Formats: sequence, C-alpha cells, structure tokens
Amino acid sequence: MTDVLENPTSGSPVPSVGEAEGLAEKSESVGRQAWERFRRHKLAIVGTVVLALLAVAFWVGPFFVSYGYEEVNIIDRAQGPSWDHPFGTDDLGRDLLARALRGGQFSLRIAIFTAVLATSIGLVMGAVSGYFAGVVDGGINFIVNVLLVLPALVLLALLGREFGARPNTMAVIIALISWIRAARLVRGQVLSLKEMEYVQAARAAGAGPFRIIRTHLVPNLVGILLVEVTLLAGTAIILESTLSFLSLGVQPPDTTLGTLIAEGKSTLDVRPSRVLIPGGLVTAIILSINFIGDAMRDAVDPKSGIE
Amino acid sequence: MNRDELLLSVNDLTVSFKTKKGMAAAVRGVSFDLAPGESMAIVGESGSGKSVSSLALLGLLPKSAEISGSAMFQGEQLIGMPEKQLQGLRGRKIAMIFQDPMTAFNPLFTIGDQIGEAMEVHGLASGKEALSRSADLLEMVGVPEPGRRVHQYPHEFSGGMRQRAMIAMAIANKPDLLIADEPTTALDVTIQAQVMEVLADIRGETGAAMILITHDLGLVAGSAERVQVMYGGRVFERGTIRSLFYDPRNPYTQGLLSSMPRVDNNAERLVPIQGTPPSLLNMPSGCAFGPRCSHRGPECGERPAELVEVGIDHASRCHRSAHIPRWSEVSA
Repeated sequence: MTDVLENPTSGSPVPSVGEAEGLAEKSESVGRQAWERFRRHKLAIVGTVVLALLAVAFWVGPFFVSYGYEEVNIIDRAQGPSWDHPFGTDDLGRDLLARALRGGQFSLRIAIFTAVLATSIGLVMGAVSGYFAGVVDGGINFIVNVLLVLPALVLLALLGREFGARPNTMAVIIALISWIRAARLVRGQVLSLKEMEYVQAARAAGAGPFRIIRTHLVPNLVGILLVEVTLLAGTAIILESTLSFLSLGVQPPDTTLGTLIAEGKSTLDVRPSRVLIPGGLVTAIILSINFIGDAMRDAVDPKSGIE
Repeated sequence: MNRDELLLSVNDLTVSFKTKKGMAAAVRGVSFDLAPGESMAIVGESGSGKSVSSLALLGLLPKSAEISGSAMFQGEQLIGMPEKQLQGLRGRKIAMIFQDPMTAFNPLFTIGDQIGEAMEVHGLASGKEALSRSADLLEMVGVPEPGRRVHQYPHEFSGGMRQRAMIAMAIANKPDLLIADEPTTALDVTIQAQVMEVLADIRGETGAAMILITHDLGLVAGSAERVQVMYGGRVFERGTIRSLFYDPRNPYTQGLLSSMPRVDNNAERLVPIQGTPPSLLNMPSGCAFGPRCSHRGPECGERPAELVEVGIDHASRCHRSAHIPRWSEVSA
C-alpha cells in the first residue's frame, strides 16, 4: 500500500498478495500498537516509574534502615524528622521511616491482591450470569443487588473487626465486597459478545459453554478487566486506609499507611509530617495506579486512534 | 429408497416461538429426506422458516423455541437430544457454514487457531498437528500460501477468502452433513461462483451431503439436486432442480422465477410478486400465499392447501393446481 502511495507512477496497485503482506506486518504488532498508545500518556509513564520506585523502596528499603518497624525506643519517642530518623518517631519511639516502608508494603500488597481477587470473582460471576441467563443470572443479580444496598463500609467494618487483623484476610474481605462492579461490567459485555456470530459458529462446531466462555469471551474482556484491576487497586487502598483509620484494619504492631495516618492524627497540629508523609504515599500510589489505568483503557481500546 | 439408508429424515418438523404477542409459528410441518452425499436446497424469502428449521436440527435455537416433530440423523433422533450429545454431533457429523464470514470469526485469534479449534473441540487433533491440518484444509479450499495464511488474523482475509476459511473450518472433521446458511449472500457476485465451486469440489472429495439454504434461485441451479421452496413456514413446492426450474407448478415458485432476471428470457420487464410475506404472528387462515396469489380462488381463503404429488418426485401445495397455467406457457 505504502509503495503505491509513495510512487504514484508505479502503475496499477499490487495484487492481493502484496497487500496481505503489508497487513501482516501490522497485525503482528497488535501488542506493540497498544504499547504505543500507552506510551503517549506521559503521566502513565511517570506513574509506572513512581510505582516501581515505591515498590522497590517498600520491599528493599527496610534492609537499609537501621531500625526495625517494631523496635520501641522510649528515649527517642515523638521526635521530628532528623538525620537519625528521617521521618521522625512515634509515641513509642518507633522509627517512622521503617514503619512507613512496612505500611506501604502492606498497603500495596492488599491493593494488588484485592484488585486481582475481586476482578477474578467479578469475571467468573459476570461471565456465568451473562452467558447462561435464566435462573443463574437471577441468582447472581440478587447477590449483587443485596451487596449494593448494604452500606459497604458497615459491612467492611463488621467483617474487618472479626477477620481483618491480617493483611491477607483483609484483602479477601475487601475483595468480597468490591467484585460487584467488575461483575456488572463483564455481564454486560458478555451479553453483547454472546450474540456475535462467531460465538454461534463455535456452538455449531460443537463447543460447550465453558469452552466458549474461556476461548471466545474472556479474551475479548481482557481490556476492561485490566482497567478494572487498576481502578480496584486504588479503591482497595482507600478502603483499607479508611478501615485502618477507624482502627478496624490490620492490627499493631503491624501497620499500614492508613493506620499510620490514624496514629498521626492526634498530633496533627504539632507534627503534621506524621500524617502528611503516609498520606502523601497513599496519594502517590493511588494517583500512579489511576494514571496507569487511564492509559491502559486507551491502550486496549483499538478505537482510540490508531496511528 | 430404504429408510435405513437415509442420512437425514425430517418428519413434520414444527417450530414456534413464544413472544409477547402470542405464538409465532416459524416452521409448520416440514418433512424431507436426505440421502448420504445428496445436496438439497431450501429456498425462500426472509421469515419463510428456512434458517430456523436447520438451526432446530442442530439444537441451536434459543430456549423460547418450541420444537416438535422428528428428525432422524443416522438413526438417531435429533429433536430433544440431550445438549451434551448434540455437542458431540455438532461440528463433527453435522457442520454449519454461516452467512457472514466477516463476523463468524473471532477477531482476536488467527484463522489457523480457529480452524484448529474445530478439531480440538472434538479431541481429534491439537497443537502443531491441528495447525498443519488447518493449513492442508486451507489449501483444499483454495486459499493461496496456506502455510503463511494460517498465522493471519481474520481481518487480513478478504470476504471470499474468509468464506473459504469458513468452509475449511466446517469440513475440518469430515462431517457427513454440511448445512450452508446463505453461504454467499455477503459476497460479491464474482466471488459467489468461486465459493460455490469450492463447496462442490469439497463435497466431491469428502462425500458430504449438503443442505443449502438460500433465497437465490440462481445459486441453487448449479449446486443442488433437489429443491424445496418454503413460504410462511411450509413447504410450497418440492422437486428436482429440473422439474422446479422447467415445470414449476406452484404459483409462488412461478412468481419467484418470473421475478428473477434470466439470460434466456426475452421478457422486457421482471414481474415482482405483489404484497409482502405474511406475519408469523398472524398467518392467513387459508393458504399462506393466498392474499398475494394471482390465481386465487374462493377455496384459497378457507383452509390451507395440502402438499400433493404433481409429477414424479415433484409436489406442490396449491388448491388450484389444475388451473395453474404451465410454466412453458407463462414464460414463453
């Protein structure tokens, strides 16, 4: 094609073989095109870098900090930032840098675990309910509606108080409540996808329902699922912080960024850094994740301007 | 022919859909037999029940459809067969070729993957073997450079090539029966002939029987041995290609033929059939074609006509068979 355009004098257009070859090059780069679209979002690149740096800091950082996150040191308690304690210390003299790293580690872990888990539940529920319709659909819709009318925070608080002391159970609890949006998204998408002729064709070829869901529906859902994961990660961090702020979340001596903010609030007027630092970390994580999610939405949507 | 030798024997197939406005009778008592390797065409306008009857055979209709009657395929009853058993049959013994090759492939997978899937579903081949057989199949249906084309995506295939790939997918498991639902409707006229030729060649090689569903009588002439003309969910005329094209006895078939341009016809104008097909929800109490028929008589409004033999292997559903002028007189 480009040959013809560049050399208008080169006679009649090349027959189908040449054309097919031109197209072939384009098709092998479906992933590359997505990456090109992702790359155009400068903020998403910044977000990715920031998130990567934070993750490295949260997991590797503690090895370079001379204090442990639960190391109590009454003499040095309630200090402001100094060379020895860059983020200061809390009421028990625990190093706040070590605690911020530990908290960040847990918050990020909860965010990712929750997002992946909630999206998976949503995918299964949504796909099954959309594909089979009828009684199954009705049942799942009922669960969704019940979860929608119950105030999520109250539910979280109840469950969190009972089971939320550990980061992993915390993640499961948040996931059990936040899969609804993913399920509804997937269901809607499946309802329209299953009317596609290729799904009919697959049925006519003898494929069973689960094979059709797995090979024809799920790959078409990857786009919205990726976006949903990033959005949910942000939501999970906020929810976890809210719970921890209400001291219903991860229990001491372990900590999360939300817990740190809660602990710092009593001294907000004299030492605002105790709230601002973990608060800033939470903000940085959520903003980064949301920027990445935005860019992914565009990247996986072929309609958002190719070339 | 001995009934045991038949590939498919459909008897009094009736399909109706529950709708908010009442029952819509899409197919009303269709019967036909198909011998192994034979090719039969079902011709009709939209809504005449031609697609619905074939989907009913495969159990692919939505749950709102009520199906009755009988359809024996290789000695097994298809109507009411459990879904699991039907899955084993679909794509393996009975394969379907869809109308629109543009949408019948999943845009996310290569053509080779999708042809291979037809084999994988039935556990007949997988992985590398499926891929190399896909390439062989593409070669069979006349796709050039099959080795390279199996790795391409549907959007890289032209309409004609895609329909060839559809055929390749349908014959992947050497089915005994191919159901081609308007296989060329979405294609250019020049490509149509090529695709029909491919279908004929493939049937010659695999010995598969075919039900060709179409509204295009011209397509039927070269590619089927017998024709069944449907109207309002009923068979209005059936016979061999020869009898139907040279001696159509039913006013509807005659109407279809006169509305079709022909090279050997000197008539200056095409004669359209007046009016529109009846609504499935509100069928005329008499003959379904009665209101549009130019040979209508008083009895046509009273009760539906019966399908009666009018010649050897030739039947027509008309009250006034005796009064209908012969085609040789009409078209001359």
